[in-house]
Amino acid sequence: MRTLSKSNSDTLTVIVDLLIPKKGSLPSPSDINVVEHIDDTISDAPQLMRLFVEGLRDINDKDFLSLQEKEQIDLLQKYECSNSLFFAELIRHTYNGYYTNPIVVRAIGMTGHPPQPKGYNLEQGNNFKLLEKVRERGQIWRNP
Amino acid sequence: MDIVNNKVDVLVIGAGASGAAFSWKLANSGIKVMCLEQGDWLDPLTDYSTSNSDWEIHRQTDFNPNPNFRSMKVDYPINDTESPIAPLMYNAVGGSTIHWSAHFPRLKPSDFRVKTLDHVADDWPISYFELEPYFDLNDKMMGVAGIIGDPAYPPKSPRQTPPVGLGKLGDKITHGFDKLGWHWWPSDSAINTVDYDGRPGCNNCGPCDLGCSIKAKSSTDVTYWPKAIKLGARLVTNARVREITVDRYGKAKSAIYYDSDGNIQEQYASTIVLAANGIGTPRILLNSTSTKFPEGLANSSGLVGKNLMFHPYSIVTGIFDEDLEGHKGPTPLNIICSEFYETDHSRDFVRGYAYQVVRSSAPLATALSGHVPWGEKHHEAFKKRFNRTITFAVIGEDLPETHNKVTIDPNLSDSFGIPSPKIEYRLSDNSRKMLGHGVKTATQVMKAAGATEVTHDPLKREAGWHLMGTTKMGADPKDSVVNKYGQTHDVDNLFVIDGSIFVTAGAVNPTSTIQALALHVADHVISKSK
Repeated sequence: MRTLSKSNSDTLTVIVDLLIPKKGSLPSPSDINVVEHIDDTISDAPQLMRLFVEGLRDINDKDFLSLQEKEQIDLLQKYECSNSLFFAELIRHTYNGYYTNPIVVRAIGMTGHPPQPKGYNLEQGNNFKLLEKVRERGQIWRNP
Repeated sequence: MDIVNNKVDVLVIGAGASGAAFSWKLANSGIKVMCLEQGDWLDPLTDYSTSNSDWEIHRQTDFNPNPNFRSMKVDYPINDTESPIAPLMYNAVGGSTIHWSAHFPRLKPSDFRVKTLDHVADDWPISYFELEPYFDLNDKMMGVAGIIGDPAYPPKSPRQTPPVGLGKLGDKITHGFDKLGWHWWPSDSAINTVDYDGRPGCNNCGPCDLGCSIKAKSSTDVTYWPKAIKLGARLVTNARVREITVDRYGKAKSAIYYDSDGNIQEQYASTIVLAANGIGTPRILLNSTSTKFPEGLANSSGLVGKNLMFHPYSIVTGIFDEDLEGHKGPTPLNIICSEFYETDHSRDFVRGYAYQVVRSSAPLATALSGHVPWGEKHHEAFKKRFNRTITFAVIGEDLPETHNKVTIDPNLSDSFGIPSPKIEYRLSDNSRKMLGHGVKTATQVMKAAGATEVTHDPLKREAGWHLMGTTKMGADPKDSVVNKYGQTHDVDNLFVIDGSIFVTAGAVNPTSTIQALALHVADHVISKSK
């Protein structure tokens, strides 16, 4: 970790896995290094770093890791209201790390490769023929 | 002054949609033209993110359309705290065509005659049909995908390439329009769908807003600029213009700019042309004060910066049961509905609106849409939306109002200390009613197409793509800033060619019309120089 302490990193690992639970072929964020992604991101952004370090310290102060899962979720829900700025950034960077990971992208049904250079095959579609009916309805532009 | 440069015939400020078209036209006529651009060249192969797995994150950083979030060295901050719509732009060679969706509809004939037809705002001093040859020339230069025969327009010349494919998603939504018997048409789109003019056809990768690394999308860095430079046009990048100076007769004399090293350079020119967009252009004019022009250059009417028009957008999203493969193909599906475009006196608003159809969001954008909660229900909510949504951007005509304006913020400046703009904008009652109507009708189409659920955002904030009206065109110097040739009434060797000169906004994307106007102004400048 470049920025996060061991205790903050451990806490964040539990939190991201509560935000996006593992399900079927969909991995948990900690399985695919989302915490490392967040650590990298905040290491290059001083304001964001402060927000995360302070936010996680605050959560740690509540003895977060020793709580039962339901209690952890309750605490996060309270946090979502009381520290909405930190929580919004926590969600954003967790989702950023998760949904740009090729393992997740494949698991949700895409090819897993980025848009370029391969692109996609797009069906032309069958409905251009319907334009004839639009034409038949006649001019709708207003001639001044 | 650190560096003083020799005089050029014509100096253009801004290398985006209009500056590129104008510079090419002049260079093609043998005129010595130089363009100052505050941004730099981008290399489509190395500067765009769409070949990387983290491509979607770039929408939040270097490709965020909002310069206040992007905060790159080439950007200037904008105080938009008094506007419900945030202005968006890109600063580079190509300007906002770098990140645009390439919707390329023209304004319609009625848009130029709103006073005569509907007793609101003003007529333009030029008509659709006067601009038609310039629309056609511009289409050839940019390369337009589409189908002729749209009954919402007068007949057009053949399009350069076939329309963007519909895919499953397009088939789905067009059934909805067909069921209701409402207008829809594949909108003109500045995207090569097959090889054209040395550029390849689109490979349907999706995110046009992140720059097109294969150059299928017609941004002006890959259309007009290479041709203009070959003809002798000179393009200076990283040149941030502070002000335009005047001589003792009140004629435009030079532009003073900061180069990339922070040196102050002065560039003399016989004619100066502003192409810095509907916010950047009034910013430069208002920053160009002198004894002769204490309220800003070319501002005897007091209208520089006033009548700012965006296109207000409502967003309507339908959710469907089946996978529509919504990530395949250019994000803007480029279907347009003009059913409610023209004034209908039975409604409680004048003028009208269009819908643009947008494909489904990519994975990260879906997750961050605000509809996918964290926790136990996360995956279920994600699955419900991913690849299963169709979105309409309801784009309404914004009428000009002088209280909607660009001024100079007394406390904000860019990294070189050039004072920054402030935006003050209020959504009019007419626009609010228009968008409300649009949300209702768009919901009808979604349901007719089979949407199981429809959500909407009544006014999208991050939607100020179209910046218009701030140096209004007109015949009367008391009531306008430029004449029908883009020439300022006050300074006869100073011209404006960007969206600032729009008299009214229409309800379609303005770039095609901006470029046609730039070519029209170029013809006037060329004829004057002979």
